[in-house]
Amino acid sequence: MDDVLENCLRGRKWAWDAFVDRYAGVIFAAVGRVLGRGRDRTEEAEDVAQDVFVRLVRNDFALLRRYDPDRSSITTWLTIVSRSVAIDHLRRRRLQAVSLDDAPPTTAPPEPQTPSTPTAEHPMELLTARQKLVLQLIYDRDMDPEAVGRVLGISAQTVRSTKHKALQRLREYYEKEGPP
Amino acid sequence: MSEREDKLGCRLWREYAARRTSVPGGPEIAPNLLAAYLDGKADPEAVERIEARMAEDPDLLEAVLEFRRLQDFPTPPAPPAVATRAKSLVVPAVQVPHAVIAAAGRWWQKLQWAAAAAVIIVAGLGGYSFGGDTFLARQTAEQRAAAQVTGEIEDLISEPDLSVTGQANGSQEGQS
Repeated sequence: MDDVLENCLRGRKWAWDAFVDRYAGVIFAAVGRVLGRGRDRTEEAEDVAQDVFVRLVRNDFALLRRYDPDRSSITTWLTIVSRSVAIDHLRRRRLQAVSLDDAPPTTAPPEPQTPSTPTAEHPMELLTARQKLVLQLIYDRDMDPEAVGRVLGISAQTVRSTKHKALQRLREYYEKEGPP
Repeated sequence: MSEREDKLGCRLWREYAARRTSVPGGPEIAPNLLAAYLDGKADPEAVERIEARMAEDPDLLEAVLEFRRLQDFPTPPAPPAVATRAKSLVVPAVQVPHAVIAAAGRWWQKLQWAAAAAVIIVAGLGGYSFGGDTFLARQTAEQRAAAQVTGEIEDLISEPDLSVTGQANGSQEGQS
């Protein structure tokens, strides 16, 4: 484990200061991307970033101790944690913004949606998760194979191959069942 | 792939996507696991699980996309206030040099022994004093008692008509 991080967990002030200097930018950037731009958003992002640091320190660094250096870099882990805290903050802000007068009347909770079940028209496992992701990113997000590859951590060639196989499956299925 | 084939592919995908009714299920992906995926260190089973979730959960997919965007650009420094506030969360503990602690430890040990010895001595003296007082008190009482008896005997002996035989001179008048 990194020397700074190790001494941080021992409560050493100098290590904590070094940790803050090293990763404040990462945390603030991750929080800022979730909250959006604008002057008032900067102050809000500062508050949410502080919330991230508070959560890292709380209960003798309980959250920070959960970081596993064998599985990922600290930068990646902090980005995910910071993003999660920012999203929680957004949710709380939206809840607070709804006044009692504007709140919708109490209704029965929605029926829990069941996972998709195979039907005669549409088998669930027609495409693999990766195939769905590739098509989704290419056609819904308008991303090129190189960009898709960066998202999924695979090569652009693998993206093209996956796309080809996915479309082939869809084509065969719809040729059998009838054109869409 | 030609433009025509690509348009067809897009139609096929849109048709398929429109008829999907699955919803994201299962527990949240833990930060350590998601971080491993993003850093390319997740095992194949975890990759499949995460990608299955990404395909159904727009929020998770957006999180991954956001992370990749952050990776593409250098991280700007945070405003100084962010670091200042964060640093104040941990205060410095009183740092005592190890040599001082070791020396204090030796002195403390000596102090403890000295205190124990003092307690023993005081207890001993106190006990002696207490016992002595008791003994003296008892001896004095005995002496007084003895002196009292002696005094009574002397009083008896010093009675004017009392001979050694203890018979008083006037004691036989009634006998003649």
